[in-house]
Amino acid sequence: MHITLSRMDMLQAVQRCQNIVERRHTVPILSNICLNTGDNELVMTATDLEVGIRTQGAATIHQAGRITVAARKLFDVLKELNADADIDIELDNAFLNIKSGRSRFRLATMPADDFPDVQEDEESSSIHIDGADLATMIASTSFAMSNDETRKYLTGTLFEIDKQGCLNLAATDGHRLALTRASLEQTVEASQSIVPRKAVMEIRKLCEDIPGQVTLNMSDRQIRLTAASHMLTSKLIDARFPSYEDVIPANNPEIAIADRNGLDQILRRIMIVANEFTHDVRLQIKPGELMVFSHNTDQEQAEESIELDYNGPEVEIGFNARYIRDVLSVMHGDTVRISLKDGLSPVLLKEEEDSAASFVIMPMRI
Amino acid sequence: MAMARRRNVADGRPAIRPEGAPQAVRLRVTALGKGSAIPCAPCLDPNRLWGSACGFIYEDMSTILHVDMDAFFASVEIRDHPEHEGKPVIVGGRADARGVVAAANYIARTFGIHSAMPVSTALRLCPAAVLLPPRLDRYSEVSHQIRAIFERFTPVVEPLSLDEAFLDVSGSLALFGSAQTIGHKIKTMIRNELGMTASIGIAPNKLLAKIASDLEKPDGFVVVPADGIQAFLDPLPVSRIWGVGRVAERKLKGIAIHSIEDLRKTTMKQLEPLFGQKTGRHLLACAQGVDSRPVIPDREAKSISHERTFPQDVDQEDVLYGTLLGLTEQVMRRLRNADKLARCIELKLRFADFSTITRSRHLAAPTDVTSEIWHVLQQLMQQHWNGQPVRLAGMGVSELQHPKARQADLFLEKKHVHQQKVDRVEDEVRERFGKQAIHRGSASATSSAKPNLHDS
Repeated sequence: MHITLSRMDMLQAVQRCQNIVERRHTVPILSNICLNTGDNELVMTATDLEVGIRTQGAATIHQAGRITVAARKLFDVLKELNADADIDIELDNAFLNIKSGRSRFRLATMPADDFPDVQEDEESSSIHIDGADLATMIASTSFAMSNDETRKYLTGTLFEIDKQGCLNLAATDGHRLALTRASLEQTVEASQSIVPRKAVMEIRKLCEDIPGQVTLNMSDRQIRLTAASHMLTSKLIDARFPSYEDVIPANNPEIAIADRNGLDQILRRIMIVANEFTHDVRLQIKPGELMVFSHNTDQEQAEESIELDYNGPEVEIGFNARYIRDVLSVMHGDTVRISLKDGLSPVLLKEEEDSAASFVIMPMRI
Repeated sequence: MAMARRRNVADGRPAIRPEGAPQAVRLRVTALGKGSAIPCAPCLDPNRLWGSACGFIYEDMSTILHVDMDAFFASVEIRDHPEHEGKPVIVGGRADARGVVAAANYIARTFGIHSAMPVSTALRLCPAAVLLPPRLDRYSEVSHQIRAIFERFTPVVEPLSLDEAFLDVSGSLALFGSAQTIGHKIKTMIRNELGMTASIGIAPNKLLAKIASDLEKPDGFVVVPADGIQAFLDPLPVSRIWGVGRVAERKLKGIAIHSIEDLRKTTMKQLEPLFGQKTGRHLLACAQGVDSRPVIPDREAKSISHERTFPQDVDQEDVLYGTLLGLTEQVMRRLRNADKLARCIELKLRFADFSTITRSRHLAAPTDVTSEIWHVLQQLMQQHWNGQPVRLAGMGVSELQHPKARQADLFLEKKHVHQQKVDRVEDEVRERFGKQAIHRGSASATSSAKPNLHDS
């Protein structure tokens, strides 16, 4: 194998692979990135057996070949090389010689035959969506994914195509739920896929980096994202996502509208003396005013009030303030619309009544 | 009651009565049990609950009791089987199953039998001894009855094991008389109601109370007055100090230290090369009778755990899981009794070669529901047990917190509330009809896995 390519192209591609590679994997070759020559391009793949990525960079191929090399080391080398100079890479007796300007590196390799395929399997339904839109959808839901390995099915994001032909993204840790939807231009069979956290985050990065339409293919066991010439695949979490629609309050009678920024700042201040793990604060919602209180076991206290557009009965309700702030931070408008029922039932937060994104927070029993 | 001089353990400053605190705290005896909402008597802080380990101790009064049942397991057995009275009795596993002596009555001890000795050795020393298998559930039931007696006098009870506990009666003096009076009453009640004897030590702190209770065993009653600490300690051999075993004793003898008085008069310079700075300091403090650890009741515990050693190494899945479920039920019952929620779960396994692993997992939200904790423990087992023979299995919960602010769950709330009710009913049934009255399906099937107990 002998190729020449621009350092910039290669660095970007290797960085994408680098995100997938697990630092300490029990299978040594998985710390590596696979380099494969194609038609005037270098194809780079990386996988942790769950998530895999394949990405390309334009290259001049002097001699075709396939080899794997430690991803981290290759990335570190490329980072240090002259930004504008081209890189010359040549395989020489199981070592990879990298030349750029006056720098010479010789890196150890492992044969590519042992490298697992980044699968492109099965029949699947495909949908097309604007990458930037998908990135936004992920941004407004991924924060609600769970870290609790005991409820594995909540540690990812649900990608659902519903009967109305919409793509729904839903994430929940059992305490709060974030849901957003986009209508698709084509009709696709309804399906549900739970995409693991790591893949969700990488899909978002790819969508943000690469402008234009992307394609999502979803089968029973795999999701595949194709963005320009880049492809990411991930196994799905093999479990059933809880029926999230049942917990979205449909008939919360009382509506309160608050200033988004103002509410966030109050919560930020009041949280200082709340319990440092549960962040429990008490909200007293009355006509025209919202009072927020907190206290802790050292008998420290805080309280503050904010104007509120509200005409319903007085409601006292406890929340993990962190959960409310997470929601406010992914919204963009000036106000937040809170619909509630009583002190024990979940509340629904939206920017506007007809916003695509909905957020449900379960109260704390205080 | 004469107000004793109080000292704040945390910073050593004299305690200041919080403004507006009542001069005398009236106690309602009926509320002494679980979930008592009585202001803390020692620090007189009306906002702090009694038993919340406020950090105050009475430094010049003897108000700490150490109650230690005499040959507890053996006494329970003899009481339940009067035909063995007057005979040497050993409680322990079978000799051919490498059983060890869990307890021996005092007659058996005259033959040189002591706890943790292999049963085969014990039977060689005294072939006529009656060997009885341990019945943990029975002992824990009696232990519960003993604890109930303690709680008639104070909610500040720190159990060390089934048969011994520390009591802090500093808040009960106005109601029941001096610590000595309370100690006598407890002894009498244990004798009259349970037909057993206990040894009691009363002292200004835990260290001295424990030494005192051991001094005149069995049926002992030793009071260490606050102004007689040195007179009490000085003549005792250093081996009376908890933590001074054979090795430390030999080291001390090497520098001509035999009695606690010798130890007290020595210097760090002499001790440090032998024991290091930390242990050296600890030994000196012990010799001076200084110990500022408060009595921490169960409800202030940082963690709750149970473990069992099997008579023979176990590699059958059902036996292991059955035992762990039983342990989980016990731990969770204690957790609920203490009115706490747990956030962290730990699994402990010791294998045939004595290597031990502990593996823990955090929950997204703390809970006191048995089924939720059991679910996680099973996951830990599936991950970390590959079928190798197990010698000891244990489980525990930690990161305990008060249940006042609980995050409700979007999906599991109904189930959680339901399971909470199931647990409460189960606790109540066991409370009223005994431990065997009710079982989870999979725990009863494996009750054949009998534990091997070590009396401490």
